[in-house]
Amino acid sequence: MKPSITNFFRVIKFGGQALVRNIGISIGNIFIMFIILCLMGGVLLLNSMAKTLITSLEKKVDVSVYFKPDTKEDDILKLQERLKKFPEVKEVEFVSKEMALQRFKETHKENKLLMESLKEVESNPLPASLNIRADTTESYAKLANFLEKGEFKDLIEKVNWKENKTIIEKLFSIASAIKTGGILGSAILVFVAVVVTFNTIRLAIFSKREEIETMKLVGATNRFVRGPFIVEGILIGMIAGTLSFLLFLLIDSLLPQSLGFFGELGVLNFFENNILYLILIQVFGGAFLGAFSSFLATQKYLKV
Amino acid sequence: MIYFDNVTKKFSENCIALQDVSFGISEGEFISLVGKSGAGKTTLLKLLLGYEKPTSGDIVFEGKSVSSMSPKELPYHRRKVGFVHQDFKLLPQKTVFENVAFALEVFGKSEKEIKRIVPQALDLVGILDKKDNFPEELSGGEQQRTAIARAIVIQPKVLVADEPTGNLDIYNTREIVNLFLKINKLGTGVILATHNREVVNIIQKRVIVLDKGKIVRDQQKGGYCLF
Repeated sequence: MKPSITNFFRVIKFGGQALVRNIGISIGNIFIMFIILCLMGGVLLLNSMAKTLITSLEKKVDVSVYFKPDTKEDDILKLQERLKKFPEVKEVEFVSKEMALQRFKETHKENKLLMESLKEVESNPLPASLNIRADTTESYAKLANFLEKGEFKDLIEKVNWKENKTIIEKLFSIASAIKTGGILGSAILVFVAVVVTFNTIRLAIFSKREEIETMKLVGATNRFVRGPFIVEGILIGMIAGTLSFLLFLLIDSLLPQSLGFFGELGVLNFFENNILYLILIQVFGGAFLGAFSSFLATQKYLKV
Repeated sequence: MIYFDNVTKKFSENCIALQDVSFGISEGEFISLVGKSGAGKTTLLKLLLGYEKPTSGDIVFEGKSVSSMSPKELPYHRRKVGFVHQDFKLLPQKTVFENVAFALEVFGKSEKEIKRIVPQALDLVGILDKKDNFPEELSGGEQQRTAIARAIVIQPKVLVADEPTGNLDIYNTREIVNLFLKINKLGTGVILATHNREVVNIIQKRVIVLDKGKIVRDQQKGGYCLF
């Protein structure tokens, strides 16, 4: 076997040996990386929950158009088709007078006074409406303007855009803040993770600086000295990543199917949809982090 | 084989470690490099190994200038020079066998060759029975023997020792010095830096005396005398 290939396998063997023979320090390093990787997995979960929350919020935001009592259903449906052609419009729901009454009864069925009052009124007092969902606050403003001033304005009794404008703007603003916060939070955590891991490994390598000097004395090249430290870093990262991944699997298996609020935030879906991503981030990300930290940390002591 | 050509090493204007040092070492020669602490012995050895560059002058090893070697060339140069240090400098997480084998692994020698050569080196220094022990389980003398085995296993042209008996008692000192003489008899050159009178007087070979960075005496067969 060529010396370079022989030494490649030797470097791997030395890295493994170092991990086992310094078991106390190795366990400490694995534990610290495990915490870091769990935090990163947690951030992924939080980001996913935030995304679900934002989508859920956006679905609840809409503008309602109420029509005059004598408006024909055909005209309303024509308007619905017209609105669907706007690129900003995500959904337009037609609620007929009968459907509106049905929903009203369902919502207020506990309110006896209201139900009694409704019985006294002979005809259906509720108007037909269109519920419009769009993508941004500006889109709603544009649509409201079209409805109030466009060709269909005579059919319309009221557009509740102005009443809901403040709430809608606030909701979109919150959603945007959550998105930005999520990205910033993730970036900060990744930075902290790299710094903590690097310092942990650097301290471990600092304690071996005399060994590094000895190896150089004997005539070892930088690659031969550094290689086992990088292998050790990779192993520490992979073990910590695997443990972190197993922890998330355990949490997933222990979660009850009905999670109430957390279920709505898509916690279960997160695990099912992101299993490969979790493995990638935690196991391979951990390995990369360990290797990179070892590479940087040995740099100082190789200038002998 | 080795030639120091007007070598001067200044760390600062107030700190001149070596001044206009010139001498040659033939193949297989044994030299005791003697001087008080701070005379420049360690600096001289560091220059030979390429850990320091001279301020002026040159060190030539087998026709090549050590001071002009690049960082990539230095590991290959150090493989021709066995080095033994006062502090033994063994790798604590490796056994005696593994410490000595490391010097051959650096060369890329096969496991088969290592298994054949290392026991021979351990036997030569008299530590074969401790091959599976870790350095912390050995006495000072045994650790130094391990370091010597590691230095000679690569069959270097010259063995350089910087105060190798500095941390040893008198009995171990004699044994280590005799080991160096034995190695020299087998054909390896030895440069032994020491301020130990006893060591120099046992050896009775060429003595170079350094004082404040200058060679003050170069005697072919000398005893301990600083002037």
